[in-house]
Amino acid sequence: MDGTNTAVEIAASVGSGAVSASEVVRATLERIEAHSGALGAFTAVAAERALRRASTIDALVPSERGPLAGVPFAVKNLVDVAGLPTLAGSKINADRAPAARDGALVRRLESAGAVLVGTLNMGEYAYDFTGRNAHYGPARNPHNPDHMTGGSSSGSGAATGAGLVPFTIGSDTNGSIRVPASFCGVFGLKPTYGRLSRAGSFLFVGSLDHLGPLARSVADLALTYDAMQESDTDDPVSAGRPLEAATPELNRGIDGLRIARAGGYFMDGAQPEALAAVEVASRALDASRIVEIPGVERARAAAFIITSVEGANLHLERLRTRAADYDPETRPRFLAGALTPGAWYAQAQRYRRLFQQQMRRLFEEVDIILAPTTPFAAPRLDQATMMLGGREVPIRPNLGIYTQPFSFIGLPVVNVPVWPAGGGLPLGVQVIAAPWAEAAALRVAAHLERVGAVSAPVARLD
Amino acid sequence: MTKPTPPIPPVGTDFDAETYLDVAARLVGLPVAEEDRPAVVENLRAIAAVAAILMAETLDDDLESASVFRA
Repeated sequence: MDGTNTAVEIAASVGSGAVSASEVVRATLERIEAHSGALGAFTAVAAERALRRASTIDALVPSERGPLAGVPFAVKNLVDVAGLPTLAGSKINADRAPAARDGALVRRLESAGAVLVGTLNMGEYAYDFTGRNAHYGPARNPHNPDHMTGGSSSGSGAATGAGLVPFTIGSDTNGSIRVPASFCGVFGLKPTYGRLSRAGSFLFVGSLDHLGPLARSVADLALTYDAMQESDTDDPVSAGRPLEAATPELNRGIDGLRIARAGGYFMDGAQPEALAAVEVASRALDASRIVEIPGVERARAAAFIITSVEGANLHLERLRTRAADYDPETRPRFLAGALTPGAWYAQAQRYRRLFQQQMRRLFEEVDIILAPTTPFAAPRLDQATMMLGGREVPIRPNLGIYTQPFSFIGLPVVNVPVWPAGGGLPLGVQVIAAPWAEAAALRVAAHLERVGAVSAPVARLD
Repeated sequence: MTKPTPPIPPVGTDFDAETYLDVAARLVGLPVAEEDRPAVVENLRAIAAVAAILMAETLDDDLESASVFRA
């Protein structure tokens, strides 16, 4: 039993005493050792810590080992891990003192019995949708290593898709959980803004940042998400919600949910296979209604400006003194963001209120909206342009066009992976719900998984 | 006789990114290396292009910023 098993399977086996946490962790470490290098997934493997933690779990009577008993996991390297510098994908942060304590979500997961086995590659300072990184090398798509993982939670997508661990933690500012989940063929949950604590992580854009899990089954997403829910005064935007467990909801099916598909903007500019993926999900859910989302291009524009300005401000002093140490792909974006007029930023934050009000009205009519996650499947790692609608367009600015408007107002979204009928790389569909309705989105994802419309098989590795 | 004020062009349509970069970088106190200039200029143009989309809408006075602060 190792990272190719689901978290539910591992927790059941370790929790019943059938398998020890130490056996699971040893097998997982071996699999990581065998495959992580080729995939560029991990930046640090915490073997000693993980084995020590597994022994502690094994010393408990099985019934007290917790809901995630012995489940190995890894975190994007912007989450603090005691004893390691929090790299956030950068060269600069390697000079930081090692973190004194684990980030809030690591603590929550380990208190539920999970075992941290390492930290994962990511785009520098999370300003990335490709999975490329000039300092640590690119993460590679586990289903075809010549292709992108997507970013910025690149190692999270690679490690989850490759079955190195059953689940990982990523962060999502504009799509950085959902884009790699789409490209790597795994499930991903970006919860409502303010639901999960970001304390003890190196933020990118405070007013847009979320943390959340990537996994290969909906039950694993729900199990890990439930274990992480807790109000946290150390995170200034933690919403103080009570525990709203999703796991008990998963078998309720989709009765009573009004499900629609996003039209217009979300049907333009996508390759046919991205639209076909939404079609697969829509059919399986009998969702024929199409809704137009008002002002979506402005929402994306506003998120773009907030990202530029807040991201750059966080780095301003480092940009003055250490610009040459930034990844050449992120440096010019940070520099330009530092020079962006304040009037645009203020308008973007006010537009956010308007878009939120408009979406609230839409959620009076529907419960779930489906949309493509990415306009195309994972491009090759070195690919710069793509044919879309008969035009050659640059890849990078198009990767987040469908994800950005929803994170902009903090809506919960589950990425579900669809596999093209004729073979080839997977494509994600976003299952979008109203604020705090993660459970509804997960119910829909569970239904799609049950009827076989979506799945996240472990990648076959050489 | 005073000169008439020229009409203000819409956001992002009359934008000399090179000059703006020089002036704004000096104002902010941000050195930009010569080799970074073309990519920074390109990014400033990209930001101005999306700002043009955003700023085309006049927002009601009662729309309050959605940046989050809790006392």
